[in-house]
Amino acid sequence: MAGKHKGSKKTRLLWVVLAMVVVLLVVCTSLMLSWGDPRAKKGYYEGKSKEEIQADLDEQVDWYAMEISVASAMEITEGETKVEARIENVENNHCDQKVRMYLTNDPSDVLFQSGAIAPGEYLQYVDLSHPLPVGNNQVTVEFQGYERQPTVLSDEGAFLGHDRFGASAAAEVTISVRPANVAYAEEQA
Amino acid sequence: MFHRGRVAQAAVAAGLGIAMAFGPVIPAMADTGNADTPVVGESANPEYDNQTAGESTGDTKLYVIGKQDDLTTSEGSKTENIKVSIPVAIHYVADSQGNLTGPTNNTVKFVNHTVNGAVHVSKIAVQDAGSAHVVEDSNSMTNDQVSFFVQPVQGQSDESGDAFTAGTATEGNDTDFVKTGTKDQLGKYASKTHDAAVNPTNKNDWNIAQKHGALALNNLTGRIGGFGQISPSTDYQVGTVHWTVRAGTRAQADVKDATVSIHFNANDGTNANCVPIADQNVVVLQTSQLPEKVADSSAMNTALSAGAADVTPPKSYTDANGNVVSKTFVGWTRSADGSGALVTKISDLGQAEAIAGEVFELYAKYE
Repeated sequence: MAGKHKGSKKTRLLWVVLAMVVVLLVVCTSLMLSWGDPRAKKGYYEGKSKEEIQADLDEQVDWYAMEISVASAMEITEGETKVEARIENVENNHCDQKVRMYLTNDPSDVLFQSGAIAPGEYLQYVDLSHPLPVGNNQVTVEFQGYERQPTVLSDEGAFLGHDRFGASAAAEVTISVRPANVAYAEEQA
Repeated sequence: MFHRGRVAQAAVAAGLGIAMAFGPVIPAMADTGNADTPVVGESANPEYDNQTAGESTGDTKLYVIGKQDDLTTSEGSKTENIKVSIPVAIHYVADSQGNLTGPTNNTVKFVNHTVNGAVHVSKIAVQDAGSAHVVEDSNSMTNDQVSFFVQPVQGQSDESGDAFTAGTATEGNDTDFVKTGTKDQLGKYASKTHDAAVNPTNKNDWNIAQKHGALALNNLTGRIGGFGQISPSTDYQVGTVHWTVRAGTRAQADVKDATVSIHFNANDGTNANCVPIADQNVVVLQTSQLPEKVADSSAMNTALSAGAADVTPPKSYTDANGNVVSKTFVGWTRSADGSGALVTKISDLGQAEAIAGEVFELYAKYE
């Protein structure tokens, strides 16, 4: 009997927590939706001349310029995965950034995937998903910008996610992997 | 619906590169951060936020942050960052005939903020968006097909990246600096994912000089079929352009994949000398530290000692991990003193590139 009571109490508690979560989500969603004026329309108001629109487009260009910053060459020793990448989302950017690193010749081989990096933040080191072969490895570092404010449903389908900020941009860099024995020999020398 | 009689209202924005229609996502342009979210680079202590109290001109916040490597280690950076400002969305206006006009010339541009050294656009990829298909311009464009022209113009920007002066070379700039590049079509790079991006057609048009060098995307025009289907009130994304940049000029990048000649000592088949060919001082090959440098040198020795002018080049080499890599070398020559040389390219040896003065290893196996 006591066990049943315990079980039903747990179930009840779960339902209460679930209900609270649902209520919280509904409140958050309604707050976000009520922020915007439902009468406002996207685009250009009627009567706006082509020249005015062109001027608007020129102004948007600066906003949609995203700066990327990453070490142009990196170096590690054979077998290591921690690499100094110096990935930086510069302060002047208007967007968060997520960064993906993959082998240029094999894009399916993703070496690193970051979370969101806010303007002014940086990653000094990243951990690669696996060691790279000795020699020079050509790696693409892809930056995808994201709007800083979340939306109810992002363009990537995430609830309370962030819309993408334009297209992604990338830099090709080299990760040089030195043989472990050479590093040891240099150390001895 | 679109009303053809009213030209001004017929103008619509065709977004290239922007993921969604915007509106609430364009706050005041001067706002570059979220005050509620502390970020690295901002002072964490408000006491150090010196505010200049103006009577009616607003406040200025001054921030200070300790330099991380000064605080933790004396090690400096080995190489500098590649740092480039890249346009990630371009908007066009379409007239009633479906002709597209982008921003005015010298407005859309890449700006090189790298402290030292030029960069270049190494790859371009264009993807379709929505129901639109980015194609090369032709007279037979059908509904939902869209074409874009672009003309790269190399120049110089100011420190802020706002200004643009076409064709102003900078001190120590790359030698193949040109002012105006060839008009190109983004349709050439269509149906490519970022992963499968390709080189620009006119590769040297896409260099970006050092010290705030800039590359403007001018003459941004195009055409779209089925224009009447586009709503005049919202942005309509018709494609996505992915740009990839790389350190150095295009010519420098090509040199990194230069042809090299690997010379071998005739006596033991090993690598007594590994040097680059003349005028291409880009690489020093070194194998002396490696165990089992030549797994089987007998074939090479036999061929060389027999005095054959042309012998069959090796069919494989062993990479640094001990894997045998099949490779037919371009050529194998023999000098009068009995030494031999392989002619190949850096990339053919499994190396992405070779930087001047760099030492890297080649494991050779002869069959």
